[in-house]
Amino acid sequence: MIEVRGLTKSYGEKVAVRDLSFSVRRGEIFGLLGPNGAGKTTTIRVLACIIPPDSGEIRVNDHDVREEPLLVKASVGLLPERTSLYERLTVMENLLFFARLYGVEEPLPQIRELLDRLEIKDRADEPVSKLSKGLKQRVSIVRALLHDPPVLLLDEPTSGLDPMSAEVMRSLIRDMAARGKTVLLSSHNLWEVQQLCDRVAVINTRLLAMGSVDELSRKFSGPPRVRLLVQEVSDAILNAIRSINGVITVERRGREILIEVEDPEEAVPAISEVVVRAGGRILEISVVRPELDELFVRVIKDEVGQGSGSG
Amino acid sequence: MRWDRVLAVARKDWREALRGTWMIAPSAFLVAYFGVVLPVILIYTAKATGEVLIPVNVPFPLRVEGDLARSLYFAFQAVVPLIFLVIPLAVSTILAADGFAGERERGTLELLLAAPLDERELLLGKVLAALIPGVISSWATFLLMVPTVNLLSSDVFNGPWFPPGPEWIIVVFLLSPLYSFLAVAITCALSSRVRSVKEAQQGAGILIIPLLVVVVAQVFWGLVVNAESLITASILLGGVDAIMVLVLPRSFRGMRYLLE
Repeated sequence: MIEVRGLTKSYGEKVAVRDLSFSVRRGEIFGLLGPNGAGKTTTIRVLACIIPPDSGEIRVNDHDVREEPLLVKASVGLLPERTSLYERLTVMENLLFFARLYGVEEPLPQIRELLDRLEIKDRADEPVSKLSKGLKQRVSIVRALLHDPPVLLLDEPTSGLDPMSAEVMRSLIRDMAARGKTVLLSSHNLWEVQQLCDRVAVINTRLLAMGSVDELSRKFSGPPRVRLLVQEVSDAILNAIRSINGVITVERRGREILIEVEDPEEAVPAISEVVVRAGGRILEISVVRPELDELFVRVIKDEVGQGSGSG
Repeated sequence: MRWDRVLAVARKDWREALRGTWMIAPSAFLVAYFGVVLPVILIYTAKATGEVLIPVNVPFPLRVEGDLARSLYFAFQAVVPLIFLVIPLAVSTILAADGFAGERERGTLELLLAAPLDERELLLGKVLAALIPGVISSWATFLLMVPTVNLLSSDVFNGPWFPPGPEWIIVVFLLSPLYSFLAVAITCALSSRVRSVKEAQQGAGILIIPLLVVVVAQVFWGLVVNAESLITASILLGGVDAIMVLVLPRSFRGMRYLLE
């Protein structure tokens, strides 16, 4: 649905995106992660045909962004980072304007249904300037959806929203993907990306890593860890754990023991057994998968450490 | 070219302009001032002082005797027609300057560029949005000026006399729209290349210079403005407008840098 091969875009001397490649399947939620200035917004703008790429082959909904920009634009529902609505116009006037630009025939039923779904139907005749940021963002998503596009490009979709509005937005994104829409979103909210995205690309001008959160965990987090909480930690327990085959390191943190292992499925029963045999009382045992923000920081740090990050 | 999209862009701009006092109040003031207040001032001043300021080479085709009539005729024939170039220039350039730079300032340009509009459709929508209010203001001023002048000076001219010749019709209904189009096209091009409305407005200020040159030429160099010279000017201006129609879309393609 989205194919990006070797996308490069510069602004004067500054390279915003360098040789970026990825693809997004139909019905997939794909996350673009990266620090400020990593090229996330530039990538979204190229995909939306707002700015042309310097080089690369980019196709959206089977249309080339250079050859068929109008068809690409008609296929895309864009939610920019900044709430881009006409403040002096009412909600309905804004939506009808964009419906006309997108050639939506009889847009009113569609608009009313979306407004109802996002719980802003009763604000339709108010000027946008009177709405809170959360409500404006809801109007923006209605605007992005009103021509029923197969591809959604969402730049920081929940940025600055209150928790309730953010949850409404996340629920809508999930629902859109379930209906077969392709969603590409950029976000600083790593928890959100972890919750929403099927796959993630970490970029910092160029692609640093890509895969599902689990794949990235395995790739960047080092060996898996088992977290063990016991009533009382003793040397006998620690030594018993160290003696198990497949245990790499053992670290004590108060009543908690963090154990790096080769294979958690084999390690967990073995650890339980030796701890009980050594007289310990297990309160909790679990396999720890690193959070996405931990991975993100690690990937970006690796990139900076290699000296190849260019902003 | 999809005209429904062109008109949607223009209508949206008008709606926005109508909701803000920045557009309506100055335009209404210009129309009322030049359509009513200025003629009143000119006629009563001439009647009160009896001053005659007529260059010797100004033809006076009306069959009316008296210096007051000649004085009023000169005032309206020589100076006032330029108002019909200034009004659309003022009204249209405010809207044209806001056209793209304003969208950028308010953060709405991105979505406009993301919409499936041909660049010509977007550009034409913006040009019409700026051009039509300017031309309507100019015509409204004329429609107010005709009865005002005739009501207040028919005693001097022994009846209604204004407009006194075809020059007015040419200026108001041909030259004024053509000059407005040129002004709007240049201002839209500026607006699509600068980063703020203020910059676009400052740049558009240069469009007043040709009008000042005409005034100076009339007052000091005895430039005679008649139907023939106005038709010639209209043809030349039409040619320049046609060139702008060809050049403008190319200049517009550079505007995406505003988002970069």
